[in-house]
Amino acid sequence: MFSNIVLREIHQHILSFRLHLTMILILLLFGLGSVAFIKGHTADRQSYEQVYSTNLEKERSWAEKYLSNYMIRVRSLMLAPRSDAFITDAKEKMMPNQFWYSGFCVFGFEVPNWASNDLMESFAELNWVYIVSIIIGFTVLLFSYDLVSGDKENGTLALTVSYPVSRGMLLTGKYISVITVAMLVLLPGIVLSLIILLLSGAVVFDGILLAEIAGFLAGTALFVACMAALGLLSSIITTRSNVSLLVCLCIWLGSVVVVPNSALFFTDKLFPIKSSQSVKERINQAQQAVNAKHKAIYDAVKGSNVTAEEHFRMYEKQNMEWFQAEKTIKDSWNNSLFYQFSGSRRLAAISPVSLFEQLSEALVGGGLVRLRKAWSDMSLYQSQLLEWFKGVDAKDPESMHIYDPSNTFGMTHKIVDFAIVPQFQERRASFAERLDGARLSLALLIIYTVIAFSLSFVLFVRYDVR
Amino acid sequence: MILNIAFKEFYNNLLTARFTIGFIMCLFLIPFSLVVNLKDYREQLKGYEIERVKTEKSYQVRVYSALRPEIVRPPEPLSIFSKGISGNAANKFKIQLDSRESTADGYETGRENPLLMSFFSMDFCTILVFILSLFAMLFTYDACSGERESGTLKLVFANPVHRWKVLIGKLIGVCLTLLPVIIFCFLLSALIVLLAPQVSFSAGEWLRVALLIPVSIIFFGLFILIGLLFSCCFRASSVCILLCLFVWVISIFIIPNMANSLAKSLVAAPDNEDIVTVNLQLNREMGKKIAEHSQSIRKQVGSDFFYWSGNGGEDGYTELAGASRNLMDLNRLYFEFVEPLRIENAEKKGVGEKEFMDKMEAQMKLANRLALLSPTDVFRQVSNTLCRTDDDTRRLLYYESLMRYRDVFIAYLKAKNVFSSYEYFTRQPPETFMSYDEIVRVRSGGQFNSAAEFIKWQKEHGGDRSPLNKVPIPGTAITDYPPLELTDMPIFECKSPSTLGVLRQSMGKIAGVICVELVLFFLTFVCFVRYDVR
Repeated sequence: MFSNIVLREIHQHILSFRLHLTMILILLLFGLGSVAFIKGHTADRQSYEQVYSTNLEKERSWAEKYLSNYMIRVRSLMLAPRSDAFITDAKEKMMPNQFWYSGFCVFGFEVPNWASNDLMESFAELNWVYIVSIIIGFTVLLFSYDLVSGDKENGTLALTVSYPVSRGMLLTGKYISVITVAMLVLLPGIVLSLIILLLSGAVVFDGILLAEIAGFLAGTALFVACMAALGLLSSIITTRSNVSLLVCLCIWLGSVVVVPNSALFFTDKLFPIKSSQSVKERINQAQQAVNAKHKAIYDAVKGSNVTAEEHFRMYEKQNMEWFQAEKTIKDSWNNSLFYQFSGSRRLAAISPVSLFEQLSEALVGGGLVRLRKAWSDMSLYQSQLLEWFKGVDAKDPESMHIYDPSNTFGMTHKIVDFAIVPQFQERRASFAERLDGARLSLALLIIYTVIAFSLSFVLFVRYDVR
Repeated sequence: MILNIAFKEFYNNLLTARFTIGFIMCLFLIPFSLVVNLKDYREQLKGYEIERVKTEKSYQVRVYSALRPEIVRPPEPLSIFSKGISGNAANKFKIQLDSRESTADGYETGRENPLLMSFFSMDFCTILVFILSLFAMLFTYDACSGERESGTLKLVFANPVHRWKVLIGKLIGVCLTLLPVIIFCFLLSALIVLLAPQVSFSAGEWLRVALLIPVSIIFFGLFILIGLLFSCCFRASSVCILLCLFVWVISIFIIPNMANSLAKSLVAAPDNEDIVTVNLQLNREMGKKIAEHSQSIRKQVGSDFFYWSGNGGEDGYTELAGASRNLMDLNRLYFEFVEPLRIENAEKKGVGEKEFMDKMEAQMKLANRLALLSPTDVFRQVSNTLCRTDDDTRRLLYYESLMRYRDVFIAYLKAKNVFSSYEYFTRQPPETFMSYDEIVRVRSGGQFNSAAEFIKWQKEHGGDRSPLNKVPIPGTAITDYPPLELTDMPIFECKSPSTLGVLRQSMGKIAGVICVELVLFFLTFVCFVRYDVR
């Protein structure tokens, strides 16, 4: 009986005008989106590789002069464009993806200004998550706004309820049919997109990518379930279908436009951070204090016989403290940046659309998850590089083994083959890390769905069909 | 009769749930969007004031080689209404001889936290177009089909009234409903701006805000007509609302993004790296020429590199006082040759930079042209033009004002013949120049008779310069001289488009929209007259 209900509903939906309209739109969007992605990705990849090889050449020339010269130079590192950005780009182009570091210190990150065309306003890319959150989310509401109120208006609800079927089963049947139809609408688009991507050869399909696609589909199903539950609820609360439509539109407008775009309004008040100006001043003060302290030390030993090595040791101490002063302040500032950012994202969690975006972002290991991982990996790499360098330095009898972050006097001046110098390799986030990032949004999406559906269940059981 | 129908429609609309909900949404969202942008604007204004004070110092110089005017652009007040690309554009410039591109670090227009760059914020015009276009279609989708379904259309047509009168009556009724909402939105925003501290608009700015009102009415007319057309074409109101909503979603969320994506993939983005390489090559070639010349003049004049006080910096800044006559001559000959060369080099580098910008512009123009398919995006473009936050304003500032000023400034320097004069790097009158020997003799009070003697002594005493402090020579410190009198210097004038200018620029788009409206009206009219009321 249950399958009967579901099949009848699906049958009705499939013949409806809205489904055909959505289907055409979805196919068009996925097709165009994939073509745009391939073009954009190839260009991004090219410019990334050019920057990467120029940087590598520069670093090689530093290392070929002598190794400690390579260690003290400040260089930048850029994260490669993700090839699975067709699922979601997580707005990575607008996020920092360039790190500044030397062998002794990781300085900070920044948004590369050349990544976007300044003459254009920033916009969201047409990736899978965008299409699903805008079009599919919208369609699901369109499918579900008149599930109950529409049936009531044309009088079929009274007839349906008069069958020997429990109301709960009827509602669940309607609910499941909407989810199924939405996924059915989506599938041709995804298949088309995958075919285009496969034919272009711009993306390598490996196990991880397939798992990501599966994860995306599961996330989409959850998102669709959530939106359908909201639509169902609105269709039960309101007695007339056009009011229900209005309520659905408000829900949609709120979750697509208002909530994600208004997080900034509250950010400053709820998650205040210090201004970058004041941080700069604090760093300056701390560094001046270090300089003053060491000037006193120099003055104390002035005139007495101090060997060059002792001088170098003093410099090292000063420079080390100077760097450390900047690093402690900068690190806490960077942490506050991350804190503010994740706080603002949590604010947007009222909207299922934002939740879905955050969920898929974490599942593909992009955006915040990626930045955080790369940032901590960078520090790890820097300390490993320093350890490795100290090992090389220890073998050099001429070196004084003084590790000054801005002078090479006391370090080895030997030339080492650049090929054996450890290079930073970005590691993709592991499954556990991705799941960890997705936990909150996953839980909230499930909670929203369950609440909305159980509310509609209770209300429908008591529904007045007249 | 038409008015009767219009008022009936108006009252009907006024009492519906959609009117209440839409009105409440406007009431909430519009102050919301303005407050965020007002805060941004106030912060920019604060930054601007600080930078402006700094730029005034760029005219307080003692020598011409230090004279590199700095220009800071005030934030655009109407960016509160429509942000456009005002947040991306550079706002501080420094005129330099060896580069046409002269962006300097100005005040912050972005966000303090770089991570937050991935959040979009909405401005007044975006909210307005979102809500009111939806509103316009929600009021019209059932104007005809809905009445047919409820059966009232038959009764209306049974009256001795022409159908066109009914149609126009309905149209006026919807306009009457929407007009107060639009006016209300603008009045509310004007009130918020008036009450905001530190923000004051000039008459011209208020005029441009006022201009936004008729423009938005024209655009909402378009959506009203689209809704009406669907309503007259189809028999079921559920199909009409569906089509209306799809048109709305596509024009707001799909076409602009698609246009941007397509433009980015159709017009290849220029590579910044290429320019860097070319410029490096050009600089290297120039460096070679300069090195050759320096050697030859050094041979010619001789070199002893003695100066009492001096300073230097970027873009040729050199300031000397109390230098030996040789060094002064050397510098004069050096700058006479080098400065015109650097100006020429800047022109060469400018070619590649211009190409780069042209490509960027081509990309942006294509995106804008593709986005013309979406009425809401046309409104965005027009409102950006009216608020002077679009690309044309940037061009006008950058090419018309800034580049022209650079040319005028260089012409001014050339006319004064400063590159071949001593005044370029020193304020000491040439008649007071002394040779190294003389300086050493006078300063040491006769302890040394020639520079050679002093140098020898200095070598033995670890570089000690103290014997030269014995007898001071007046006018040999750079700080002895007052800043240059620059009364005849050309003053930078920022050309920003006038109200008439922005109106003229957006006239084409507005006229296009009106034409489309006429066509839509005609179609609606035909459909309505033929409408089957059964």
